[in-house]
Amino acid sequence: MKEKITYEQAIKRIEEITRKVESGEMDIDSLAANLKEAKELINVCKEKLTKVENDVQKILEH
Amino acid sequence: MESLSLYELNNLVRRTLELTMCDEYWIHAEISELRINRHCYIEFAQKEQNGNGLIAKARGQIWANKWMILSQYFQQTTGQTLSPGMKVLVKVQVTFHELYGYSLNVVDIDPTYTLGDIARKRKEILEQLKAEGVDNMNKELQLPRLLQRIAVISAEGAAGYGDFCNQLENNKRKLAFFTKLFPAVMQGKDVEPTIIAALDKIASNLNRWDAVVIIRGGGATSDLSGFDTLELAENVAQFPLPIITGIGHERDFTVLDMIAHTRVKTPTAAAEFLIHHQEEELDYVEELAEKITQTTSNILFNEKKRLQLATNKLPSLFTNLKLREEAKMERLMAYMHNRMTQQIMKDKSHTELLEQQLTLLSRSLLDKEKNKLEVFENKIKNAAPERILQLGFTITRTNGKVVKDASSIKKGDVLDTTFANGTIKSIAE
Repeated sequence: MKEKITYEQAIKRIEEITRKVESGEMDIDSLAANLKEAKELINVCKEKLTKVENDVQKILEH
Repeated sequence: MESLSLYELNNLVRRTLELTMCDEYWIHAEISELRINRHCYIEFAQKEQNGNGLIAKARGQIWANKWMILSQYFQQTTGQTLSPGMKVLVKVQVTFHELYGYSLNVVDIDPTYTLGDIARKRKEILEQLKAEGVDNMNKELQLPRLLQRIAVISAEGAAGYGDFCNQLENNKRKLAFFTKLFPAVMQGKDVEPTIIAALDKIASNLNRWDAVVIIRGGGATSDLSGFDTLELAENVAQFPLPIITGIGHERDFTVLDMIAHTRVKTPTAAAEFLIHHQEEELDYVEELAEKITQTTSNILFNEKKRLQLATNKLPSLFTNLKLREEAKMERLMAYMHNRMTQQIMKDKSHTELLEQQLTLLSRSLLDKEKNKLEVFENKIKNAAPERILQLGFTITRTNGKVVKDASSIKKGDVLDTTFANGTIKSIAE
């Protein structure tokens, strides 16, 4: 699922999780799950920023 | 029939001109063509007021030594070089040469006139765009968070594009960029058509690109007029992707610069702009990551602390409770104890009091009785006649009755006066 998400969607989701965690709405039990999701999304974003996915590369090659 | 040779005629024209028009004249005209090889050869023209037809034309030249001074002067003031399409104000000498004919020898120029003209043209174009309501369209586009796929419009093989790509490739935070060149002519009258063509090509598959960069390297001296055209401006204004212009011009803002999304000075500045935008994005992502880890660890830390606090408190709570209860008990005991002792004390003192009162009362009672008796006794004793007689009093009786009233005695009454130690008879005189 992660790869398909766009950069903008990923950022929005991370912002949402951060907001929830900061505002204390997050209970301890769901904290772990959300943290994991956030971490994954952060990696996705970083990857997109620093390594252009190869498919973009391919399209633009020819 | 007499006739002149061509040369003679031309010579005549020349001499007449030298006589009648020996002054220098300031003229304003448009440069239709311009060629430089040591000297500068210019074609001056004047268009009709409305249309594009010409109503006057003249050849002109600026000799090399003059050209060196004037071109530098012009460049310093306007930041551009003399080029076709410019309107200029020049001081000329009128010359006529038998072979080369009529030409204007340029001896001075007023660059501010050209500047004025350029500015006026730009203003007109801008107003036109404003009227069409498109002047801000490109500016209002939102730069996407991911600004990576850049369509570059620049001159084929120009230095600008090379510097631009190098800088993008080796940015220090390894941000990814992907560029493609859409070649166009960056100088003169072909600027407009070729850039528009490039824009069209880019527009043909828009979703491949995040933004367009129009850059021109190779110094800022060459002519900018090509970037000041209405049609090019309209195209850029309404282009669906943000356009960044780095035409490399220190002072001047061409119309293109004014309506593009972002204007930077040079191709390297354009690269820096993109890199900076992506660095901020990366910082933002890292900041979010930091914030989440920070807040979650805070939450965990606080929860643990709360738990710890609670567990720590338990024993003390318990002892407090115990102490409190014990204290209560003790207080209660003490209270009862002293209430009882108080009660006892009270009763005891009460009885003592009673006792004392009793003894006192009875004693005083007795005394009182005793006193009373004594008083009676005294009274009796005192009342005893003997005591009275002893005091010197005498009892007088007549006929055995006690006489109390002196007046009741008559002369001759016999009075018996009893004294303490006897009675004597006496006759009242």
